[in-house]
Amino acid sequence: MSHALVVDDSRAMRAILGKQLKQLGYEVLEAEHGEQALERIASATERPVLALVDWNMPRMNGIEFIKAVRSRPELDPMRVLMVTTETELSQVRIALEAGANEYMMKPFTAEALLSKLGTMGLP
Amino acid sequence: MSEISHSIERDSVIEVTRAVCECLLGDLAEPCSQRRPLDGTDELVASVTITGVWSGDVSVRLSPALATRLAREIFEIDPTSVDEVGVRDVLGEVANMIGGNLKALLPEPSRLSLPRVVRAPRGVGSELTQAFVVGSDDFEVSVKGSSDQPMVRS
Repeated sequence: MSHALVVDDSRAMRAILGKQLKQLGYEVLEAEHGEQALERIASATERPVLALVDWNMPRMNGIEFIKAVRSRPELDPMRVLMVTTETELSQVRIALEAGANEYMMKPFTAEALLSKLGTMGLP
Repeated sequence: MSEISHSIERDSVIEVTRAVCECLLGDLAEPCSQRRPLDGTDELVASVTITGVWSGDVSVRLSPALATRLAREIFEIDPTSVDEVGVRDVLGEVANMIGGNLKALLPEPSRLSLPRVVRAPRGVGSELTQAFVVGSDDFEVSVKGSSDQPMVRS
């Protein structure tokens, strides 16, 4: 079973995204911010193939987390989907330039998430 | 959804709120003309502030019973396990999503504050107040421009 990481300071969003990923067959890891997400990756038995990342989080935000991930060649295969209410085009550009593979706006449907995963070459 | 303007319109509030409800609850919220009378208890109010060309507050006001239902369904727990922290987290995310999507309809750049959640008695309506019914519960979303920029079209 592939592992996916949900990084969001909202417990509600982690629950919603986690539920949808489990229905798609993923083993889900959760983190409240970027720092904790890096710790989860380091201690995981299997490296996540996917990270769903919020933008605004305490301690380490989503952009900082993505930059940290992309600075580590061993994490190159991990696909990153930014899931956020930040919708301005300039912000989408910042996220993609930081290394996000795709960008999804909240709110979203299960179909939209599935479509984004497909775009990233994931089941 | 309406094109970008310097105001927030009622149709946008309805469209965004329905999408947020579908995402969080799997249910569509239906707009209605007014809410049922309150039974005397305080309600929960989750708000975010938008700052930019248009500045003001977007608030979601609902009963503790509906807030508990939201938390119970999202966290998949029984009603006795729902705690205040979980309820506030859910309501904050609701306000964040609605406010964030309304912000997207305004000219760039705009900023969105972190959500605030408080208990308060039912108050008077804002410039734009829209009631909704979801299942057997109701709630309302209100938009209020700051005093120098009351540019809300209802």
